[in-house]
Amino acid sequence: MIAPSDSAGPTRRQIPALLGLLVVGLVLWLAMDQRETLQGLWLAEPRVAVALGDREYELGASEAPDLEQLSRDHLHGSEERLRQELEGLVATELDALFSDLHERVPHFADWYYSLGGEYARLSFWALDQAGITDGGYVIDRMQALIFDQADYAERLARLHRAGALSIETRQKQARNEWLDHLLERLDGRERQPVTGREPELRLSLDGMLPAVGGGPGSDFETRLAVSGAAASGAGAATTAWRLFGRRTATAASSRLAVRGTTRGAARAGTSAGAGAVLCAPGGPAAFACGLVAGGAVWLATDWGLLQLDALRNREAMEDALHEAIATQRQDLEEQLLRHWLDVVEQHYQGMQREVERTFIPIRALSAG
Amino acid sequence: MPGPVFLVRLAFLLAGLAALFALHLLALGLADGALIPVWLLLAGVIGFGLLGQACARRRMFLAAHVVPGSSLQRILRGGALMVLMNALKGLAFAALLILFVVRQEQTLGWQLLLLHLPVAVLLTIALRRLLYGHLADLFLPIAVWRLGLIGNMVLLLPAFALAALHGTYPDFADLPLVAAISVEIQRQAAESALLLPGLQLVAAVDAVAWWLAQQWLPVAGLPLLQLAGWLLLFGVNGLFLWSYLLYLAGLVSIATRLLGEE
Repeated sequence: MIAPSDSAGPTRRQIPALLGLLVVGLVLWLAMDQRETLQGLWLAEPRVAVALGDREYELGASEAPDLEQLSRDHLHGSEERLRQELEGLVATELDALFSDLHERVPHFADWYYSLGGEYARLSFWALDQAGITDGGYVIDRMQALIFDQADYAERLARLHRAGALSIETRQKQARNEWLDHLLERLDGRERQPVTGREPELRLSLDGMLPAVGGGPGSDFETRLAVSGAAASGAGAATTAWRLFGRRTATAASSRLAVRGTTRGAARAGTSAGAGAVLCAPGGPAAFACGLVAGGAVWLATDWGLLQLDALRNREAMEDALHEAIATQRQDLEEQLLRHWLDVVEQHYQGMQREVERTFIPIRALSAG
Repeated sequence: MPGPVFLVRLAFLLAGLAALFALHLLALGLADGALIPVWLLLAGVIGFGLLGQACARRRMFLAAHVVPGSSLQRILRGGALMVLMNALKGLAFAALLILFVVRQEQTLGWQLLLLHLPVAVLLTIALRRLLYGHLADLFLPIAVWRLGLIGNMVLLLPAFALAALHGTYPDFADLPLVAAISVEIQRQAAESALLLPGLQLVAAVDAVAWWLAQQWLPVAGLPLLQLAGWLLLFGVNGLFLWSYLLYLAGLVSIATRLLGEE
């Protein structure tokens, strides 16, 4: 065996060899640095077969990511348009609905300051005190005279249906537009199965169609329905809550009702005195006369006091009702839009995920 | 300063690496007819080194256990069976090497291999010089071969693991494992019908490693833990690096034989 002999330094003859090797190493380094370019000169660009419906198209791997971007942009644009559409729909419908509610306020005030209304309130207040009724009479009347007559609950339900229909329609429209754009991009790229070479990657866009096309309308209708008193049609309870702050609707109703009892003491003394004055002679006729006269004066006094009360308080009550209804409209709009736009956002996020999942092989190809 | 042995061996290794790089550039477009001779050539280089080692081990065995002049010396010295065994090993390692070369898609990885060449040559020369005078003549080439392979592996594996941390990989975060494997298998393409299944198999293994790396390693948090995870996952690639090192060792064996050093 020969002892290791590489301890001596390079001779003059070896220095050019060393430099030569350095140059070769440098060239090899540069070639490695340009690896992808060099490989591209030799290898054809990977082909991607894109299946859409019953047709198959073929693209270069560098063109395929454009399809994902197109789909993403398309979904983003569609979501923006749908948001604007829903905001417009809610604003228009609530404007019309609450305008009707405002128009019904004077009718409620008419009832409230009528004798019938007064006695009904007193009767139910008495029944409430006896524990026979649940104290919601005034709210029930408010619901009936303002909200039910304006068809509040049904119109809200119609709004939900219209929202769901808008989403569904927009989905279909967006799906068709998306397909049009895709077909425009794939125009002239139909794959020739016999002559073309086998593509490196197959991509089916059909899986995205159900997601991009959207679900059934009833599903959206259910998802758009908002729980909560204001949004579900129990409008008067919400309005009463706004009028009387944090108290319960029952307490609010009692307060509205009890205002009538403050007039009771004045009314009783006045009518008794009036009966005695008008039917002074004694006998049964005088008693009947006293009852009729007392009753008439009772009614007249009540009417007069009601008119006085109306003169002093009606305008303020109507203003408070208008204000409560206006606030309710604003809150309802915010509540509806927040919920609806959440539903839309979740839906579109699902679609974006589907697009992302579909195009993962393309990104893998690009990453490689 | 480097001497003639260093220069010759480095020239051989540079040529060998350049050939592998050319194979990397061309392999996907090569048909079976072109790829099989390349496979056989690489198997020849690896097998030559392995056969040399097998002969060295057999010589040592005979010197230690068989009386000189015995007919067993001739019978056991190694023949066609030894050649066949090492040729088969060469073919297997060459197949792994081709897969490694084709799938080495990181420029940094290639540059690491280039930078490693002078280190590899210096390491074997230094080992030989250090062990000369301490080990028996018959065992010296075996020890240099084994320690050289282990030393180079110790250098290359962490370097590749570190480089892999900076690589670009498909995003498998939202995919189940089966889908990730399917995606990776699907995107393999090669002209050669022999090469394609191999690439798909390695791609599936890589997909498992990348999927695990993306699902588990972010949870680990600390960079050291991530590096440990990568090392674990990258262990599979150690096999490929081993085939590369056997190829380099085969080249060094050829160079040594041509130089007539031993």
